[in-house]
Amino acid sequence: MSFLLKAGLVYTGTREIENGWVHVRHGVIIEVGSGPAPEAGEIVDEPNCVATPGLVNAHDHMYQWATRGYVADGTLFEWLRALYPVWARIDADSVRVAARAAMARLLLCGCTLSTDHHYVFPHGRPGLFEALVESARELGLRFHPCRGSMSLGDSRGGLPPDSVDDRAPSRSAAGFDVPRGGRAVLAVLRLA
Amino acid sequence: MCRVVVAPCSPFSVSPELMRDSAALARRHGVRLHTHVAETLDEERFCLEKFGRRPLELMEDLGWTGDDVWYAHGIHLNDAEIDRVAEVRTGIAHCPSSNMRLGAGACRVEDLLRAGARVGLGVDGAASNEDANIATEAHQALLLARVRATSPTALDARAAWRLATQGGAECLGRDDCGTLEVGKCADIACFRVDDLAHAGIKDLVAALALAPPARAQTVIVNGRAVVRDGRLLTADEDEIAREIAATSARLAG
Repeated sequence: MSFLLKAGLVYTGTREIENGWVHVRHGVIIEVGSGPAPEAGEIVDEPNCVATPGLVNAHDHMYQWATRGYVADGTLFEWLRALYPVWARIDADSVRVAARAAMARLLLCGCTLSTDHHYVFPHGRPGLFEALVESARELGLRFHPCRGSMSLGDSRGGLPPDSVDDRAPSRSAAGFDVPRGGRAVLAVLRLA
Repeated sequence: MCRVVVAPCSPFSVSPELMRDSAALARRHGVRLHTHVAETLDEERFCLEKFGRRPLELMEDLGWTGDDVWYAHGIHLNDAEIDRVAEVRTGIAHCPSSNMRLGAGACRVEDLLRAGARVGLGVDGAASNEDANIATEAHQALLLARVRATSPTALDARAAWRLATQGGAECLGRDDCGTLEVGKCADIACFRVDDLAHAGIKDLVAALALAPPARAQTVIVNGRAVVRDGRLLTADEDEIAREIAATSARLAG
């Protein structure tokens, strides 16, 4: 079944098409035009809107949605030193709740593709990376999750306390051999 | 719909060995690499004192340049480093709201673009932004670039919107996203321009970055509507708000 989006103005990124439309099949754009529109199984008409490419978020830490408003007037290092001990308390449940909030807000503001850089993996708390991937799938966001890590705790001259140091970094990424698509997700879910 | 990235946190929280091993791991599996670079002068001082290298020099030494890498921030880059970032095709995710919130500095976006670098936008974590609106970031990027350059031509509205779309897709290695062209992923956002904040603005594309961020009326991901009439179809927004309030209170202890 094909899908047709009509808008008062379609901005493709290079062209501006008044009373334009975008015709979609199987998740891919098959036609862009103006005037008489092709037939489609589902039609959405937005005459009072500008249709643009979905917005892309190239940097985020979604778990932080649960720690907003801390250190309102601090530098990065002051802010980090105050927040590391709070972040050391996160678990899969708090990451899931925070990710759902971050993703909902992104989608509601027109973002369709987002990364997330998750680098706090407190010892003995499984399921954090899975929570991110599952949340994106549930909410319908195209998602590039970054498996982060920290290995330079304060005892080794780094900024973060040793309690959030993760000496077995990116291990979750080591096991997958398909870099994209569902099989990669399954592999990460198994190994994260 | 999902691609994994290898991303040790930053030069001041990750050992050089781990940075090097992570790059090797990512390249063995053909996935991308991401980290924070040149966000603050404190980071620059840390790298000079601990490693005797400026942050980008350190990244070069550790194998962390190339077209499969993108950095967050890239604020404190000198002229030669800007040329180098462009030359090696490494992306920069510019996060203006977070950078202003933390007083980190102003990314040299127009210089990076002039050099041919790939630049996208990021909201950064909500603890240093308190929001997640990429259209706001496009608006902020335009204003901040003009303040930094003391010039109203530093970044125009269409260039700012390009950062928010195609520029970000380039950082993430997605040549199938970021524009509305035949053969691309059907990821589309429809912004209302008939409300009080936008009605009457002649150039509606410029309005997207110049005027207040517009309400996303319909949002399509992979050919499927996830937002209609400005409401999320895939989850209950009010329930999410209640849950995040409870979780925030629990973490605050």
